[in-house]
Amino acid sequence: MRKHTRTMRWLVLGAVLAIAAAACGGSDDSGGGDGGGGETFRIAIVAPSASNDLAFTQSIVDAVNRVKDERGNIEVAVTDGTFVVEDAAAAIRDYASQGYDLVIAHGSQYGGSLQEIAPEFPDTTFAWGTAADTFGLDNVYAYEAASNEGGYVMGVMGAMLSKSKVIGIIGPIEVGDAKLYVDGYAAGVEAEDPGATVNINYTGSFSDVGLASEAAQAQIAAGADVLTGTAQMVVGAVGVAKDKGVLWFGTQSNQTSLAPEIVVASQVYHWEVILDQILDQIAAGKKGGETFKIDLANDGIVIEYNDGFDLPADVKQKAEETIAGIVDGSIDAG
Amino acid sequence: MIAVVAAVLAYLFLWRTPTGFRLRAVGLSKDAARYAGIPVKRMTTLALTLSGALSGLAGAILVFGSESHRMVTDGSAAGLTGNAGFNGIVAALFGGLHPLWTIPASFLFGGLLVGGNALQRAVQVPSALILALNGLVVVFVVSSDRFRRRARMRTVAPLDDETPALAAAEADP
Amino acid sequence: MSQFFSQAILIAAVAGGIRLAVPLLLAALGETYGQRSGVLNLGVDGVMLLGAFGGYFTVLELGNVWLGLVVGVGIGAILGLATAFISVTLGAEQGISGIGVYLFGLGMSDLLFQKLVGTPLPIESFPKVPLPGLSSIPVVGEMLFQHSLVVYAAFLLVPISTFVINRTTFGMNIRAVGENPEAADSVGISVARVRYATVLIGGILAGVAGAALAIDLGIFQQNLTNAQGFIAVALVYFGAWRPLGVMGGALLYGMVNSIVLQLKTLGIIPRSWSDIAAMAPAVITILALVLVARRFRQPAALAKPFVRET
Repeated sequence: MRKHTRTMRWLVLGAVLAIAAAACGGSDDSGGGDGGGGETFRIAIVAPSASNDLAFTQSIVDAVNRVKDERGNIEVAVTDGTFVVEDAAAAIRDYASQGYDLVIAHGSQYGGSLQEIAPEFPDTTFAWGTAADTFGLDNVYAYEAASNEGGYVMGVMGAMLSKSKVIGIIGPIEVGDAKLYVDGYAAGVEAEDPGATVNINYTGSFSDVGLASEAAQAQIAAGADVLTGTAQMVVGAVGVAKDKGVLWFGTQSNQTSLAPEIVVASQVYHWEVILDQILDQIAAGKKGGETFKIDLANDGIVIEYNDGFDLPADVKQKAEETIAGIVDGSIDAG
Repeated sequence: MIAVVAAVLAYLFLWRTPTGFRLRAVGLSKDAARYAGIPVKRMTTLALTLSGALSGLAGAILVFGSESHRMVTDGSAAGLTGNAGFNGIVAALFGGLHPLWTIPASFLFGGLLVGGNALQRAVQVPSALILALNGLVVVFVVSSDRFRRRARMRTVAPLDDETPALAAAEADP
Repeated sequence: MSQFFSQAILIAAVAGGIRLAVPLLLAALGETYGQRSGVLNLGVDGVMLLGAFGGYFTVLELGNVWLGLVVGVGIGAILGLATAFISVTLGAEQGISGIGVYLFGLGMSDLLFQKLVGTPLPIESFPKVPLPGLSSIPVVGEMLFQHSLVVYAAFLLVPISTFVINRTTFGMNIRAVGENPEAADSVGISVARVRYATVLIGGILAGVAGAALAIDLGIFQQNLTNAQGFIAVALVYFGAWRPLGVMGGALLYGMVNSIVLQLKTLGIIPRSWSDIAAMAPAVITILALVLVARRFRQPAALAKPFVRET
């Protein structure tokens, strides 16, 4: 036992010292290029869920990577899984102090922290999503998604495809982007078929996959043959849809790979549309003070159909008409 | 600061008042305490109430300390607190269940977590790796023999030098 | 409200409740063995997560759900042995070491998932096996007898565990070691051996619980269990360290969750009440505990490492 103790304690001491050293070393290192010049442009992402959640966080990580592939000379750092605001704030502050040119705070709960941190780093651009407030600061951009638009279009499609005329929506908590999407989808169903039943269930969690799975079962028991939902937990619901042969509409990311037989389409957030604009503006010297929105009009929101799904021509046509209607303003997507 | 004050108050209460002594006696041996005339049920209720109050205080501090003064959760068990509750249990046990020792223990554990996050950002390893490493560090620290011995002593020793309080407790029905 | 009492809904609610209860039941039963012998294992959720990833990955690569379960057993066994070593041989503080294992399991399963899988891909689930004869019983048949073999096995473990704990020598040793390890030791029972066995069983069942969860859901995600492992530990207390009680607790929890989901779906619980309704499982479990609680003591030596006085 004595020998155990000695080795253990040195091991632990060593580990702690190593971590502390790395921490100190990390923050002193004020990175490469100086703010968007000819050198590498450095982007940091701080996001609440996992980078491969096939939902919210994945949408921004994918977008940044697309921008990186397209433009080149971009370095990307990611801190994901930071749902807790305190941890995210520490991450945002750290990246800023390390000289990152653009720090993306991808979570509406990070707003308060941003408001506090941004003024301390006037040379850094902060991007806050999903939100529409830049706090009057000139180094903060805000961005959001008109998820209700894509939701509306898919709601129209869902109503047309549903034979039982019962449609189920599974949401996490009735806030923000989730609420926007759910309301949009429900509005679309209502517009296409006022007699259809829409059952909405907010499970109360963004992350409980098991609960989402059972929520889907409950929806199907109530008669639904078309389902949709938002947040990373929906992977559970998609699995049930696949088992029961019920149709699925996805949002935030392309969810076809989860169930190629039954996914009809996904509303994919192409954040790179506004990321491009932001990067251009930074290069031109403007570090913030503007809000952006991705929607059907600017191709920031794209309805990506599942090519493997046999979509009837009239449904597809109605969808395209609806998109056009929303874009030219003749249709109000709730 | 509130936390440190609370810790000091907790120590004073548990070790320097008759009620605190009775509380600890119940924890050490329910039967012996009952024999000595200590109302066990009442003490247990008191202990749980105090612990609940402190937890509530922790939660309040968490929300008031955040810029937005709002509670944000993802509906999971650790949505708002980020495992602070579990980490609190670990810190308490690290401190050998003695209020004053929980202060350095919490700082140390907090340092471990913050240092780990900084490491993640600096080296760009997945946060999951840091989490796993945290777990390993906890396991290794806790496995060291000496630590266990110290924790045991801490809960037993103070009882010896409480003779005045013991007499006071016995005189007080 | 009358909508809820339609046949289809009731069947779905009960069947769903049973499905939700199974991972909890398996993990809690495993923990019961350990706690009855005096070892508190708070790392259950971590073991479940690693078992879940192992099972998921196996099915993803090899396509066989039963192999996935076997891998769950294996992972659970390894972690069970590690836990036993830490808690029994090293005598570490059990509350803390368990949390350490949890953090490790949470992080490791996520890391492996990111590195080995990347974008989540679905896997197949357990086939439903309707029990011949029984499954044809109207209503009840569909509720109870059209599940997968894993579900049946989990519930079978309850009477088996009750029998083992109460009527075998092994069970007697478990109880003795959990109540009074000094006495047991003096009579020649190897406290360490018994605790190693129970913690190993606990680990295996937790690993199986995790694998079953992932395969049943047909997918993996970081923190898939969402702290269910901790609920399983709480269920052991709820069930007064008896398998039947634990089963009752697991079913109660599963049913309440399932019923609340149905009520929300049908709109019987309005959306404004949605968040309050999310409290229901916890509240009802506490209520049940208050109503049903009797004078059940915990195993006297729970969470106290045993050191032989010489």
